[in-house]
Amino acid sequence: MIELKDVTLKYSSTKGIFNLNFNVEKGEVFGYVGPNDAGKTTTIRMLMGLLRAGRGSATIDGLNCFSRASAIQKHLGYVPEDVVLFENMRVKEYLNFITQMRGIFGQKDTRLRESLIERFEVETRGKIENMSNGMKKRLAIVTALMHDPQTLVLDEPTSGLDPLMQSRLLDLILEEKRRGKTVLLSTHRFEEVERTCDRVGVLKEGHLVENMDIVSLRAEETKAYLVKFAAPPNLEQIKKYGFGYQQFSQSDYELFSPGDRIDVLMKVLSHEKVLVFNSKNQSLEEIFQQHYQKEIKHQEIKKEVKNIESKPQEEKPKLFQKKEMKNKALPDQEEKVKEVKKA
Amino acid sequence: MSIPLFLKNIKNNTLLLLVFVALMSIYLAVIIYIYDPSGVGAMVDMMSILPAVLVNAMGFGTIDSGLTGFIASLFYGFLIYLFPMVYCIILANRLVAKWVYEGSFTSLLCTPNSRIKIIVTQGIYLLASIAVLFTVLFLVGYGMSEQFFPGMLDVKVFLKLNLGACLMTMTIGMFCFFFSCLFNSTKLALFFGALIPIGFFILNTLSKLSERTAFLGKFSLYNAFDGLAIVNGQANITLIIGGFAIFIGVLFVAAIGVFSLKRLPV
Repeated sequence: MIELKDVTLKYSSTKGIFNLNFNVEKGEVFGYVGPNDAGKTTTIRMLMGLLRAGRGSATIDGLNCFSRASAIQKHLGYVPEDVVLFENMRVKEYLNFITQMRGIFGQKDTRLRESLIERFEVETRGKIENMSNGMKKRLAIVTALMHDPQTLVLDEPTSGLDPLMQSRLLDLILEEKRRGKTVLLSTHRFEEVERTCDRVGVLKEGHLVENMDIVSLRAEETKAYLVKFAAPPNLEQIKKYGFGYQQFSQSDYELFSPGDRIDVLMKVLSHEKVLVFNSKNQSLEEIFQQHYQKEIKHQEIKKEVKNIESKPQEEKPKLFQKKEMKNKALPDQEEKVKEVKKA
Repeated sequence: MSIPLFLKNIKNNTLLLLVFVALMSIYLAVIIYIYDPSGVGAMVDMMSILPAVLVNAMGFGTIDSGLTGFIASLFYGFLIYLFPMVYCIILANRLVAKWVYEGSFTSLLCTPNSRIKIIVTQGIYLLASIAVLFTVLFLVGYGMSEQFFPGMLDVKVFLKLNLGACLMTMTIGMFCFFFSCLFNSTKLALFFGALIPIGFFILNTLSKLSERTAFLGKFSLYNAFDGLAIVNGQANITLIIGGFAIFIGVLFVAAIGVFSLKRLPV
């Protein structure tokens, strides 16, 4: 179990991580997302004991991440974002070296290691310096997992991997989850979060702006479907259940549904003759944009307090402006829906 | 100490050690070979051609007529500062700062070994490899002397000479090691790692130039080791060894301290 309590690690007044609070429970995959430079890697390196937190406490399985790093590493696997290995070593030599560094000497059970090498198709001949970045990443994954650790900390593990390997890694994460492992997965890709994670934390400028389970995240987003009907559908029924739509032609529609009401939409559509039913792929940006745009509450409060102190009269208009801004920031789709409805 | 890491260090740095062992052994062998027991006349003649100031600066001012003194003044007077210094600067950088800078040190720390254990291993390798260097030098010096001038080498004094020089080099090595642990970039580690021993060396050389610059020697670590004084029995070898050992200990602890607390680069 990974636990962060009020962890602050400052590089400067704006760079670093500030008052981070979150837990990753046993048997849970925690998605750690956020734009570049938000502090994801800093958090992870702090958890690995490579950086010392300025304030607060970070623990893994109850052990302090800095002072007890070596004890933690016994049962932990870490895949770094940028893999740097000992370039002049051969692959087998490196794997043996790390195994020995883990205190395992002689020919013990290497079945897990062999199966991982096979699974990720790691080329074991040749030197590390001649390997491509993708291959190095795969080697790092094998290294991180070959001692069957209880906790996995993965820092953008799929970056640099081809789609096949990405998929294999995600499958592996799911398998490990089923075996009760604790996983912290930092990533940029929504598909990965959707496929593997139970909970998501959104980091922005060093602040955790969101920490919610994947079900509520789905409920918040609006799903869009492209539907082709054989006959003009019963629009009244669709409207009645609260779904938005946009009409392209007599039979082509785009339907909008809240993430948690897809089952209702299915029931409504079951009365219609549907020819084509395609879900519109939503990118990470679309879904997370609103989360990324969330103001950091902490800072906002400070700003407001300052405003009140200095210019109390101007405070109200500013707040109104903010609200208007927020309204504008709503997804385009909903605006479209409104427009269509008006028409 | 971590054995696999120690073995890896041996594998990584043996070539470097071999180069320095070979260079210094050949030099020592040649010095012993050119020794002329009937008098150091030729050598003195050659030295008289050069300006006295230069000869003094290089530590060749007094050339003892005995074999041990001859070796002490020609080998343990000047060269013993230069070659091992370069070795220490390179090795100390390779053991810590280079890996930290490249990022591969992370893969060491992501094994169940504490920072202290890893740094202690690296430090022990540094000290051990210097010990190997001087053991080889002692054996080469002893072997050559016995081969060409049997019975002429005062083995006990020669051993003291090597022991003193070995500990002095270890101290210099620990200075470099400390900076290698302190800085996250190789540039800074190399700069300070080189600055200190070269500074000592320059101060030592300047102090020998004239009476008026002699006070500079007090600031140089190299001044604590005087080959000829050991041969003449003027120096207290226990004091020298003890002093260097304390220096090594303090620097080692400081290096471990700064490394175990610092933030490693992203």
